[in-house]
Amino acid sequence: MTLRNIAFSALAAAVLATPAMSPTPAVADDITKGDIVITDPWARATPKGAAVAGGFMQITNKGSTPDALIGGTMPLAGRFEVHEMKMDGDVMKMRPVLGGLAIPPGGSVVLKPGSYHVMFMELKEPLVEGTTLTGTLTFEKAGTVEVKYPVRALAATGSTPSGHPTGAPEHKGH
Amino acid sequence: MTLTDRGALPLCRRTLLRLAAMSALTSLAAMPAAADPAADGGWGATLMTTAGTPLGGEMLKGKPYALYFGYLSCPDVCPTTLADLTLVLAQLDGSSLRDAARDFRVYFVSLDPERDSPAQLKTYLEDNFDHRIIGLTGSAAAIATVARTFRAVYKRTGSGPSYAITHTASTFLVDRNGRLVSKMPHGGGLERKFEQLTALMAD
Repeated sequence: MTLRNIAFSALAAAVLATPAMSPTPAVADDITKGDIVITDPWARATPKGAAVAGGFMQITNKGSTPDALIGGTMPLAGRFEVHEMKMDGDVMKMRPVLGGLAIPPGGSVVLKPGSYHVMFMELKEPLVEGTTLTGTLTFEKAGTVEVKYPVRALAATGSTPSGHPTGAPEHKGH
Repeated sequence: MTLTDRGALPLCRRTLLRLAAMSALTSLAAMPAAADPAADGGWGATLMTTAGTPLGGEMLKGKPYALYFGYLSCPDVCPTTLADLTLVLAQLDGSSLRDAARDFRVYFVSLDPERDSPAQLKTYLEDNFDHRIIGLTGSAAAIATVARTFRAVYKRTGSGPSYAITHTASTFLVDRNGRLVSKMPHGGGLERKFEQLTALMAD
């Protein structure tokens, strides 16, 4: 190897080895697996002692064939389900989505409070605002993908289209 | 006239009248025995606070209060309602109604006596929310009676140990005369909740 190559290699290695300096962001990056794109996944903080927690995101199917969210995991939950919630008068009805949550080709499904959401059940510990949890989602066609969920405030209702969450802590400076 | 195929044969008038009478009687029998707090403010049954003391609506007459039906494994409406109420109570503490706010209580009635013990309910509320929110538990029958008084509905859904309970998500507001005067709908922002509680306490 020439000196120049060694220098380049060393520089490349140094750049690649530099750890990310930013703190845990409140907005996670988009995640792509096959034709599925997961945008703005987040979870909501729970009160201490809560048995269940909710996860939210937008799922887009960029492909030409239908896909479906059929399962997932979360280390601090003993059980994972997908649920739909709907107000019927002043009653909030909730039911598990059986057979998978369909994501139509070229379409999107938004999981948000008061609507579809993933449920982390049999919680071993509470979800704490400001932390990030790592779990997985499994799609019928696209397969399994790792998802990071920043945890937002207990009463957070979701994020604005720009991706900035409401009710979430500011990015901490350093 | 025998009806071998209800859909095909026309019903004669006598049968129609009989069917109408039967259905009227059935629906009367299914109607709740009592609705709205009684004249003395009572709920038709006594519940128990998480401190272990009995509590009924008739003991609360003279001061307004709020009442909510929920359960600890509730994923969405209950924690968010409790969080909203906590915030609004803090806002009232900073208002001209702070004295009334200090005495105000919100009763959280657990619809899930099987899983929600008084101790768990107490810890959950005290660890996370305003201490003016008091947990109430009771027998399944007592809870059903109190729910009926407020026309609150609830139903178990799903099976196994992780069942959910679909339930009325509104908070009930009772005035100092023990009358159910309004409901605070779930969600909708803090401003409206603040207005409703202000109106209740200022009355």
